[in-house]
Amino acid sequence: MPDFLIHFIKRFKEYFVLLLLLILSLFIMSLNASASVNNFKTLALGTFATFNNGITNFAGYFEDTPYLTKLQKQNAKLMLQVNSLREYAFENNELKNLLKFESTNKYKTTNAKIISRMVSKVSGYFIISKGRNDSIAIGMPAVSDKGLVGIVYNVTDNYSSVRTFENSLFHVAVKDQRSNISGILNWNGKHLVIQNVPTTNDVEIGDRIVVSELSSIIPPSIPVGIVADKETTVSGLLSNIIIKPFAELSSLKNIIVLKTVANAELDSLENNIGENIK
Amino acid sequence: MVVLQLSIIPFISIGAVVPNILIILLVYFTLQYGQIYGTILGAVLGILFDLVTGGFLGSTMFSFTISGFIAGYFYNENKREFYISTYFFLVIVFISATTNSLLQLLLNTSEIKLAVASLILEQSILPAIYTAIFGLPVLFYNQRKRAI
Repeated sequence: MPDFLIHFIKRFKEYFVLLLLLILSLFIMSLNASASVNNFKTLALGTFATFNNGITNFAGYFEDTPYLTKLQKQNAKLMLQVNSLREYAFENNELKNLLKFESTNKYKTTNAKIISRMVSKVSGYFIISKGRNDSIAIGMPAVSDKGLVGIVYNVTDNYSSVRTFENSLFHVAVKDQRSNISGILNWNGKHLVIQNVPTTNDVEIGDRIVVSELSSIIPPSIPVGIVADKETTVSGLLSNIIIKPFAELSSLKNIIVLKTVANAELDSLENNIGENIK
Repeated sequence: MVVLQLSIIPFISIGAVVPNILIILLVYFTLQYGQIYGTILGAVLGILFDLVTGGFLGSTMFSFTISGFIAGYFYNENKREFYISTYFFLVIVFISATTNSLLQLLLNTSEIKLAVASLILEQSILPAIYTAIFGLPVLFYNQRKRAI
């Protein structure tokens, strides 16, 4: 019997090695949520980003200037202010009693260079040149001068990983700025989509889509994109709204990180409501 | 090579179609040293890639392991030089890259609702073709070495 077993293993040793490694990879996948694995990933991210920063600095030596970076940061601040003005214009049209203009630039911002990008249609990530030492924290939104880019996913001392909106795990509550219709925006591998919106809802092609007040992870009113198409599903009752994002991820070299994180008090309240329902 | 894949290679991407030089490396060494070597190398490259990108740990390890195993089917001790110095090398790279991309898609997507044909063409076959084209320098180098 043992001879047969040994002979069997020797004959199919390639399959046994494959099976072993696949089981190992599945086991590693199951550990993704654990704190120790996240710490290890953070350490690896920091080490890799240091090397990559050197390469990117060399590649971009003749391109970026401090003046250009300063202009992009200013542009992003102005974009947030203009969008806020647009919000107030809509409210005014609905005969609300808000005429006072206030600066929307209440968030502290920091400019960061993109030093690496995971170019994939379903798992888009950037590595940026700012980290914990620059007061970056997990959960901070990242924007360009045109609109939302993503959210900070992992942080080391000097670098951070940003999950972009071109990632199947990225979801955000958004709304139509004109009609206030809300929905959940996600990436389907090809487009940004708000799925299963009732067809009767007032969403037109060309409407601006911004982050909704319902989002507890990203501050409201950050521009996301513009409605490009409406696809009615088979039943005809629901539609998928295709959004063309304002930010062009492929051409970005710098992004702005908004130094604000999800409202801990709001999260706590939501968690308590969930527990009470259980 | 992992650093090269993530820092330099995106500059030469066409849209979201990026060549995967790690697959080329994997196929080359698998054809040189055998299926078990290729399977283990795939696992090692995959876990390294997952660690530096900060993505879903284990997913690239899974897909690279299988890609290395499939490339290993073409290993033949007597035909090593033949496979790495003819256009057959590009075919093997294409098959491995397609397998890798398809598995990556299945593992990394939770709510993807694309047509299957679009999924296979845009996110698997096109990157695999681009990767195979990137295998040409390796092929030409081996052809010259063989001629000498």
